[in-house]
Amino acid sequence: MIKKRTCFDLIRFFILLFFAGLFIFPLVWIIATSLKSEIEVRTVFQLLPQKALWNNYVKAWLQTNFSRQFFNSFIIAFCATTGQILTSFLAGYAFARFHFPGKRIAFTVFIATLIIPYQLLIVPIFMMFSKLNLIDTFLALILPSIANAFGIYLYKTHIETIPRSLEEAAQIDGASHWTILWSIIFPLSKAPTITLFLLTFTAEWNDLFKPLIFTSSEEMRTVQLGLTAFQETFSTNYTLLMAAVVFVTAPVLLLFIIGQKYFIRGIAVTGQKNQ
Amino acid sequence: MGKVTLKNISKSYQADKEVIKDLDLTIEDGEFCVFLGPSGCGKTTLLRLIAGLETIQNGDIFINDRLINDVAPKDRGLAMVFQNYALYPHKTVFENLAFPLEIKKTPTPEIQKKVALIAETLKINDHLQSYPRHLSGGQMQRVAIGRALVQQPDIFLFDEPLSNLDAKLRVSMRSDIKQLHNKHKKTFIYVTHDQIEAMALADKIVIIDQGKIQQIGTPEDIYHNPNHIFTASFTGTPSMNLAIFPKEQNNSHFSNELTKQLTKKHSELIWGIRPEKLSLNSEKSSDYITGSIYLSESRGHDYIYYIKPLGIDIYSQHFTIVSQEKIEFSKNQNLKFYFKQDDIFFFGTDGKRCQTPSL
Ligand SMILES: Nc1ncnc2c1ncn2[C@@H]1O[C@H](COP(=O)(O)OP(=O)(O)O)[C@@H](O)[C@H]1O
Ligand SMILES: [Mg+2]
Repeated sequence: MIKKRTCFDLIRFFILLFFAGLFIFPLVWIIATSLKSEIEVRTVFQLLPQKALWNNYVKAWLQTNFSRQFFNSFIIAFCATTGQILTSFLAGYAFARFHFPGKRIAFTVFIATLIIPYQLLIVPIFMMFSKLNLIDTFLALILPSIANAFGIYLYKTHIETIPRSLEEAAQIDGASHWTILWSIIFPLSKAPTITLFLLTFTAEWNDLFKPLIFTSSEEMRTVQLGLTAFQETFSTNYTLLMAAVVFVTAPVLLLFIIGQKYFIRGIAVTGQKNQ
Repeated sequence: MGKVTLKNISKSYQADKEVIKDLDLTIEDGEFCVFLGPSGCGKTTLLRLIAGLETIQNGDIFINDRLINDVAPKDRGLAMVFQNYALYPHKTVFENLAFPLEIKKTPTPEIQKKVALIAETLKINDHLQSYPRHLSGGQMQRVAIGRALVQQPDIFLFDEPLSNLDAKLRVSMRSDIKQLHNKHKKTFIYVTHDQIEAMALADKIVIIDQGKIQQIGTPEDIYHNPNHIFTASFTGTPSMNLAIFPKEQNNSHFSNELTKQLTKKHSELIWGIRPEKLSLNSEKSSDYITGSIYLSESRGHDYIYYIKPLGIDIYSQHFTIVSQEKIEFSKNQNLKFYFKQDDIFFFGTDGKRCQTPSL
């Protein structure tokens, strides 16, 4: 019996190891490449660098105005994320708790917007923003992401699992609706909040499409646009590009490592059946 | 002051299904009033109407003669202890107790003083920094009661607060709640489906059946003087023995005179007697029923015997007697169980009590 089990465990271990390797390999390759010299990349077929050139990172940072671009990306990702959490929380609460005519239809329509690809909306949004003189501003990059049906769905399903009696107790304790929202429901919604924060922040941080379309000036560039600076017409400097990729990816990676526990719980909540 | 008056209250969740039906009730200031009834009869709904968590469709609610139909829960001067405790999971015990005070913008030193005092009385001061999930059921219950006490309301509402506790804790918490009432002399409105709990706690019991008040009275009243077959069968452990009253004149159990008088007025009757009013002892009475014992249960201090009475059409689920002494019996052995005519209750087919004609 025991032998059988260890045998099975071993197989499972190797299967998991294989998939883990599959996911981690590109990361290792990026880091390894970022430390090589350019000649080495083109000539030596070997994963690890012969000599780690840490100086690549300094060169990459100086290649373009990364400090400005980090600042831009951070402001945009942070504002879009905060905005989305705010709108999703309030709308999710309303869908979870209030009864109003047309609620089910409204919710279905909201969810249906998830299947519309963003690329389809970009032209009308562009026209709208240019009329409003928003092109090449932070707002142009923040506003389209300030509300999202997925976040609403996430909060709605979570809030439905919070016992109503907590709100009623708070109501009798004298709390206003607003106080109940922010001092009872929101603190109890940590899992969807962190999940939404990670997903939205990452999506905004990694977005190349919107900055490409909505911005034109040098000062408005984000980190993803910054990465394109390494691509020249006839050649691409891979070592420096990979070094830049490492520090551009680092903040998001760090966030995921910190929020991992809640992230998994938040996703698990969405898998829960409605009561 | 915490006098509550309900006038012609009605409530329905769905259009054609009234959960509370045209109900009138006055609860005096400082009274311990218990709503007693089976599950689903509308007790919680009634309590929530008083709390303001549900809106009434018809009628008026007064607190101290002030109409409060449209007054928000927080402005009604009451506090509520929920069945599932409803403690805030993300707040420590201290923060849970302090929450109502913080909302009312009480100064911090005063909050600390009040919470410490309440924690002391409820013996939860060792747990002030714990989160609810680390507490036992009894401790959570104390915190929930503490959160009500700290607000110093005139009216306390309890919705089956002991139903999630184990039997022993339930008894000790019960006496704690009674002591709280004696100490604070506030109005307590308490919902339960447990008649023993109701008897133990109440100044006034309100028996509710299907959204209607069946009887209001002191525990003794309810027990000794049930005005309806529902009350009679809902109270007492074991509950009252009930049987169809035979219409024929050759009624061996009751005197001819009584039978004649009763059958003159009513076509069909149900009679009942409390299990502890039947005994093997023939000293006090010469009236008896005959039957055999088929099952016995010991309660430590007394015994319950299930009997199969002869020539009696049983209406209640069982026919039992409670005896202080152990009875030696063998199956199918017929015994005589004596009773006094005074201890018999009569009910009409509509369930209402019939006044026994004086003999
Ligand atoms: N929110 C609600 N919506 C619809 N029906 C309800 C609701 N709350 C209670 N009911 C119904 O009202 C009746 C009385 O419920 P309740 O007051 O909880 O009874 P009790 O507390 O005596 O067990 C039950 O039939 C129950 O199904
Ligand atoms: Mg109930």
